[in-house]
Amino acid sequence: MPDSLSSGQQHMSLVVPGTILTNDTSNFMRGHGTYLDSTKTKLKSSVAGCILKVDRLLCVEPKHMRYIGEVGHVIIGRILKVDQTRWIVDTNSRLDSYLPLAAVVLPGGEHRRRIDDDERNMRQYLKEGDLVSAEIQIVHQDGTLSLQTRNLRYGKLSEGILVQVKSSLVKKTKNHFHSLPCGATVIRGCNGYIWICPPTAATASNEQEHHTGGYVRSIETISLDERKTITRLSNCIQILNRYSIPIYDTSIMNIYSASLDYEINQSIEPKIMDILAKQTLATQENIGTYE
Amino acid sequence: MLSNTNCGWVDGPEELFDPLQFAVDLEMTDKSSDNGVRDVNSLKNDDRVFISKGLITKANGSSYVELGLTKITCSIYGPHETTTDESYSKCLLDTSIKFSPFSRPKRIDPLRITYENSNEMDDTEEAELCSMLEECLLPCILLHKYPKSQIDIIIDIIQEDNEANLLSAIVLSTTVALIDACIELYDTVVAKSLKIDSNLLTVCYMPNLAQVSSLFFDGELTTNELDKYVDECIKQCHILHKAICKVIIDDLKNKDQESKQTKIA
Repeated sequence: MPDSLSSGQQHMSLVVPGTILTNDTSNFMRGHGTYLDSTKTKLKSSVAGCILKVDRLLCVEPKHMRYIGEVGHVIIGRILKVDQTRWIVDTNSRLDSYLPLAAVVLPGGEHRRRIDDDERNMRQYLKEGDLVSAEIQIVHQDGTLSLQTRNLRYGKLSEGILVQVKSSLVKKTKNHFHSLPCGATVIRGCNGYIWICPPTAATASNEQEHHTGGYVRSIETISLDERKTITRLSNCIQILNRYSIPIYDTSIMNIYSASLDYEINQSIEPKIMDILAKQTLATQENIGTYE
Repeated sequence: MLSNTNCGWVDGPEELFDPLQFAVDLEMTDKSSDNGVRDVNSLKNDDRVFISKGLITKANGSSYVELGLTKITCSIYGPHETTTDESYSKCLLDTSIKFSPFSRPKRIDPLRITYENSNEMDDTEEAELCSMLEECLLPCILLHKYPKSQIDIIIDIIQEDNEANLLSAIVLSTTVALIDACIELYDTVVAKSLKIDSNLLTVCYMPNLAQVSSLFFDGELTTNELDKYVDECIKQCHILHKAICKVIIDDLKNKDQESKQTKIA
């Protein structure tokens, strides 16, 4: 999504629902947040936000939008229900998403044949409340998402912290699974759910996955240092969310290194959050490269 | 984050605010607070309005409105999935209005136990208000954009001063909360009530479309008088509309500024 607040456009027109955007409907295409009124001569705004004009596309960008999936996005979801041949997953989108049984790797390895018992044993693989990382396979017409976990990278998540951020802040990059040098793994879900877990959990499950399909929860004791790293990362990502800074591996590492000057519990104080946010932006300006 | 039908009922607000912060000054002043509007010149004393949005962080959209002495909060959850057949092609609206026990001079029992020979509040009043609210709002939301979904509107009446103001304040708070939740609307709905002798007239109006979304009238009037009063209501709706727009645009500007400040620094 292009940056609407680019330099030189101070307070780009802010509108409320019902404002007329243009009378020239033949020249402009309707984007999100607009509607054509009943006389078909005027384009009006349907949300409160700022107008975004990209060539001939007119949209109104509201303050936050529900996550809208696209094929190929990596997301993190929570199982809500176990249905006949599929799981119903909450992905912070308008409608619940589906994870069909045919789209998962069954325990026992990728090439196992499907048997009837699989349906009955669904709850043993994933039950209500479990977190999964998955990829969007299909986006249906009404907006429902169909997920798949056929790659061994995806699957049930065991120990870690889930951080919820605005979905628009998660930068769409080639890789959403990051093994950070500070000693933790971060999975950035495009729907705004970010998972932080210890590195051992990720690598161990990689080995196990050849045998178990990623469904065995590794319940190991996590050392205090690893917990501290994960907590610090969680606080940092929440600062990025609060100050609307795009979230990707470089920005996470920048703010993490800036936060090392302070205690973990200090990093949630408003003044310090302010300082860290400004430092991160300054570092990014200096480097000047974006992935 | 498990979604369930009772997502609206929480034990209490996440953050506590001193109630005096929101108290309406009884003397006329020209000050206006940071995130509300006091339009003292065009409205009479008991029609002064205070609007604030985004108080309830757990909800997708929320608002707090004071109209005279009537104080109402509204929180909106949604749109989220629902499995009812009716919602197949467009969104459903689920409204719930609750009076606090201390909202009227006489205490309202939250369990609604009515004793014999009591003139207490009718059981049906809340349900009536709900259906009136739905009638006002349905025309203004782009329902076809949210198939198979449901929007939950939960209204809490903290204080009710004047029954004429009540529906007006409810509609006002719901509109602001809907805008806060970034739900697509055709236009903002503003409602204004007039109490003439024993007649109560409420008009719900959409200013930009210049359409009345609903009209409630209780009493006896000639058609000419009714015309006159409806016009009067509409004029006052325009004023209220300006108040809402000001609050929303100020809020957007503030958010704009916040994100700009961190970018510049």
